[in-house]
Amino acid sequence: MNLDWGDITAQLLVFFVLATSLNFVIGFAKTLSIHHAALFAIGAFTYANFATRGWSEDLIVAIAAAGILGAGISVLLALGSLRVAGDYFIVASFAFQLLAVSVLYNWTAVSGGNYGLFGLAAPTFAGVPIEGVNGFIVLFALLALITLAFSIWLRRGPYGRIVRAMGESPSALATAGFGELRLKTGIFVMSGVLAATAGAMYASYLGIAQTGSFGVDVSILVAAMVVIGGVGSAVGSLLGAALVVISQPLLSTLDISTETSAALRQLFFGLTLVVVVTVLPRGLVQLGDLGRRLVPGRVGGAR
Amino acid sequence: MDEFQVIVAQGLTFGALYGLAALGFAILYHTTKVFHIAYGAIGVLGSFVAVVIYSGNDPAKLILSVAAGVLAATVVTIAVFQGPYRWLENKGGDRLAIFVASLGIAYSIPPLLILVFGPEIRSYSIQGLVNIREVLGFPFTSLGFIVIAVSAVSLIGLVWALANTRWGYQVRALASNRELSQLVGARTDVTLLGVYAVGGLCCALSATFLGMFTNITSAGGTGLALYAAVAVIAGGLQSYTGGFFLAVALGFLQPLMSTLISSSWATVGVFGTVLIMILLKPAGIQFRLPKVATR
Repeated sequence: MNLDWGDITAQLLVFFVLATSLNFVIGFAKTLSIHHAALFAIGAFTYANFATRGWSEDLIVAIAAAGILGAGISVLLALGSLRVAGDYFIVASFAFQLLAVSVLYNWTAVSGGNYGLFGLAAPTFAGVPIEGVNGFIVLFALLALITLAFSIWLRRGPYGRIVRAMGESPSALATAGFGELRLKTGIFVMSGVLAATAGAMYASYLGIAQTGSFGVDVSILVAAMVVIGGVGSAVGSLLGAALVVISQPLLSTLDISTETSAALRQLFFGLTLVVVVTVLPRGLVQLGDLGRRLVPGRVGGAR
Repeated sequence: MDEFQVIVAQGLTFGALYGLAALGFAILYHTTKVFHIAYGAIGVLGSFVAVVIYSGNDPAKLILSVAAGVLAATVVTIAVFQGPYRWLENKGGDRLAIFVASLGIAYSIPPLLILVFGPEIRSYSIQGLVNIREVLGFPFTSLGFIVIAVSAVSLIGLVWALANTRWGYQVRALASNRELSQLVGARTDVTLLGVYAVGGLCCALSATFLGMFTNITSAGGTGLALYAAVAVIAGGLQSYTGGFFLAVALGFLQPLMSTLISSSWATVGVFGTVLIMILLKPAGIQFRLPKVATR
């Protein structure tokens, strides 16, 4: 099988960062959002504008700007989530996704309209030029490691535990004196910064940013990565992202048309989402727990 | 014919269409509490079945093919609610889990339609129904009148049935307290079958009507489900009329925004309004049915 593993690895690392960003909101705040593709798009177009306007080709500058934008928008979304919760927030999040992509599409000075912004020059990172796929892989691996370390710190640290408790029972936490506003805004901002960072990484790697690549289907696909991998788990985000990223080149090796291949991929993820949520509610990471239980003699295993 | 008349005719037609979609979403949402986002995709599935069966220009064949589409959508609605949703409910799955399952189903149906029926965009050959004719200066189509009539009859029929029939009492009882209504011996499964049938009917009819005005694409259900969900949620809990009239207002919003801003920015105006509406008035517009009376 002739697969481009370099391309797969680079995209896997981008989508891992994106899936982790959504996992913060779903796993910690227990809030399902369908607007992550919009935050991803904001990051991508921030980098694309920095590169095409000659402001800076340094990815670190674009990531910082994208992060500020992502954080600002996430504050507004967090305030919205305090006002409306559950199904109401899902609808608001859905509407925000469509609104943001429509604004970008029509704002041709920023997005290039239908054609997007293309021919973006290869970036530098802190002044070091990124050359070839291997250069991107090294850089993205570094960013993914930082994301992973931050995710683990958040999960194990006191802040993460308090935010998770807020997701389970906001009223109990309020009784204990913790304000929902600060906690929720914090987790939304972290998520927004990471999603925008992933967007800047994506556009710098592909050398193009088009609004068509950031539709509601991408938001659903990212949600699928998180749920299939395992809500609240960093390893789960990696597993979910790997499954999504590897499936596309795998299907393209079959002797079928591009449309059939795309349809099969979408069908696979849709059905996997249903099967995982019904059979493995904690996602693929649950398989690891099941495996440990089946191996005798291990701590927590079958005796 | 000025812009005002065009806005009124288009707004009423598409508003009635979204109203019909909102009625089906409302009865499913209020009764089962499931945020059934696959609603639009299932409607498009019914619409695909109808357009594949329909050939020629015969009104009787058109009615029969639409009936087949409605039947297909109803069967799928029952299968989805009795299958994965019930399975999750029985296993103690929360609303988020059921919503994710619904999202998965909504994501699976468009590619399934492409694989079964092919990737080409479908359209009805119903030229006579979409010709514009002026009524008191307003540019309506015959299909527009049919949509408005079907939606109005559906709203009146559903509100009447909910307020006056045994099934309606049971639906409202289920919506307010499922456990209690099961405890007092209500035949919840039979009642729910009726709910699913109304949901299937409304989603398939609204998607088919939408396909008759435009084209039928496999991914066309997302917008329909969103409009229905927004209208029902912002229309107020247990308020069928609130959801319906809010959907009609959404139908007016698109041509109004096209005139006021521009057609390309109209979508921004519509979703911006929706977002503001949900955030400012999350409790929705309250047009409540009278409380269940004891007999």
